[in-house]
Amino acid sequence: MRVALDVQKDSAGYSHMHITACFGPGVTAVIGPNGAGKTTLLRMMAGLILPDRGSYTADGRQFYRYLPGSDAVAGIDPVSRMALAKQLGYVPQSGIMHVSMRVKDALEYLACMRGRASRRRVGQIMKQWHLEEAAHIRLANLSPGQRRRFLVAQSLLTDPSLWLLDEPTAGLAPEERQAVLGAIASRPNCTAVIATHILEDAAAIADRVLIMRSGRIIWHGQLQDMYDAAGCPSSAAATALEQAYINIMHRNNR
Amino acid sequence: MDLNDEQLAAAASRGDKAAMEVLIYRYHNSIYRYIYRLTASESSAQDLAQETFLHAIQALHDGKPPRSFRPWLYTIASNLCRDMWRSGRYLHEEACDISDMDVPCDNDGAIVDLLERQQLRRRVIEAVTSLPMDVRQPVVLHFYEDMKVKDIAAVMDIPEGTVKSRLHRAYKLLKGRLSNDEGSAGDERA
Amino acid sequence: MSERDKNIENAICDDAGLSKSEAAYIKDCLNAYTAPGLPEGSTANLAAAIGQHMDELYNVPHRRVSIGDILSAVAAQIRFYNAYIWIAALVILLAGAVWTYNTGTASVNIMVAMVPWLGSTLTLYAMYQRRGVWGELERISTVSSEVAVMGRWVIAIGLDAAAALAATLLSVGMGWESSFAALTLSWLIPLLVSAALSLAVTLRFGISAALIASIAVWSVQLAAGQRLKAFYLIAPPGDSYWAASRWVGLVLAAALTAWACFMLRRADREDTPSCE
Repeated sequence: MRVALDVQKDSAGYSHMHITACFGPGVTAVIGPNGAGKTTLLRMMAGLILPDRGSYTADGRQFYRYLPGSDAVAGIDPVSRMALAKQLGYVPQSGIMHVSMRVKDALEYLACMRGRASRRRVGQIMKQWHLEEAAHIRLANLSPGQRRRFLVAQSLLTDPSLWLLDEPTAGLAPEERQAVLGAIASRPNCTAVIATHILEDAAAIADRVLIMRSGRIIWHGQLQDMYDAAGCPSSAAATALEQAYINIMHRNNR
Repeated sequence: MDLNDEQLAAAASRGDKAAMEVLIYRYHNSIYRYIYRLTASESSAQDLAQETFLHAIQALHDGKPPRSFRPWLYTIASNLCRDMWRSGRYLHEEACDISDMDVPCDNDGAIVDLLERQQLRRRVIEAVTSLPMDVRQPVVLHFYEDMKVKDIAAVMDIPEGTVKSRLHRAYKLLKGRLSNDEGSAGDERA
Repeated sequence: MSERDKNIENAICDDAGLSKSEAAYIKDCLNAYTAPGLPEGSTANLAAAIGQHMDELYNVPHRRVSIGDILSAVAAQIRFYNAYIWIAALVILLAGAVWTYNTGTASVNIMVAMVPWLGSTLTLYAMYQRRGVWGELERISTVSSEVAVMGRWVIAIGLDAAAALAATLLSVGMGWESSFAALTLSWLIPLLVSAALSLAVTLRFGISAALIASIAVWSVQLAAGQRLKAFYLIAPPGDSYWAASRWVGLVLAAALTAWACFMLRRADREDTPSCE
């Protein structure tokens, strides 16, 4: 899926957020300090929050409805919402879910909400993400590891062509991190956007990088170009990416 | 049965995939070349050409078949290029990718000739890309897409008189830049 | 010189007002700017992709959104109300009916009083689930927040009404109450008011506020009783202001529901208080 965003939002925690970006197949890592707006960006792309003005097109289809005669966003076009929900996977930041539904019921419920095709995938996804033994545990009682697997699993119900992941590996043990990163890397035709502050992960799987700060994108481009842009030697070591990132941030400070 | 573009577009707007396919085969190459000459970037051109047809089918689906298909399609492509420009080339980062190997094959194909033609090509690309967009568009449409002034006016949504004056300016600018360069290149060789 | 070259030279002269020699020179230069060819097979790929896109665009049924998907999403809301809840609702109300019979108070029909309480509890329970991380997962759906919440709310009312109906049938069947219709209206109206109140206050002020409001309103109802006259919404059948209070309740329920719908329409814009 090809997605293009050109959005503005006031009062988003910083003075003004203005983002213009385009995403295509492959993995894009969105990195930046806390409060940069990475989560807001992902939530906007998932349709959970709306900007004040702007446009969002997915595969050439306009996502927003506008107030007549202006570009102020009034809501989401129902046909686009329906189409997007069937192709979107969103992994929110992990947090306790105050829901008494059991894992299996929850997955089936979410599948129903996302189009009938998703329902067929529940069993296979539970197996893939080792949720079978947790099938009858209530969501509120899941362990952090199980919770994270559940969040990733539910995002795959639609076999997404747009996959948004918000800090998918934070707080995970190394094997679990590898599982998540492996899953992301194994979907080459999917447009994956990952917000992360773990630069190792970005270095490992990203094709493109977006650096955000205070609600704006201060640098974007291919991963390789980031080393060039920052004027440091490239290598797959995390420290090199970190150094590049720091250089760019410093430059932006001036 | 060889249908004209407008009939095919009307059929496509009713969901006829075969009609749309004919239009794609008819215009993919030209739209790609057009965008390539506007943006001087192969990858942008490939992506935007695809987007052009996506937008086109969306508009046809929304029930607005155009009265004249070809200018309408070029308008979509032009708007996409303009949008890309406005947001600071966020689609692709590559600078002008000038493929040196793409030179027109001459009958003799002598090495010196080849080098000269490569140089000429590069100079022409620079000259064209240095034109401001509002004159670059008409000249690309006029020269490379063989479009009549009337159609160019439709694509750019400006009066025909304005098209002519922009063409005049564009060709004059090009002549100026190309003869200047030739002068200096000649000096270098000597 | 090819036909095309001749034509373009003429066009440059005519349209741009240049001389023949200038036109010839420019034509030769510009001809050198060849465009690279499209990669092998890319047109075929594009045609296939557009074909697929057209499948999506044109197979959406006449009404533009898939009714099947909407119904499926709304019906899925039932999953929130598991078997225990159904049983509990039934037990509570049957118990209420029996207790009413036993105590035989004139001014309070326990069952009728319990129905709206149950309605607001179920509504709050349903809205409570929409908070935080889970709320975000829910909102990624083919239906809007509006539709999902309304679906869940209607099911809450339906569930409560179904259990209340069972209790009513018991009451009438056992001869404790005479009029089926009167008893039904006695609980139906306050149920609608209570559910609408809970929904609207949750949307506007959050779950906790809705809980407090619910408790406050129904405590006043129970405590003040017949002193509220036409505003005594849980009046049992036979109360002097019973008919008037049905109308009052209906108007209140309609107004609160309209307010809730209005707020839901704007729910897409920002996160509602109950969802943070």
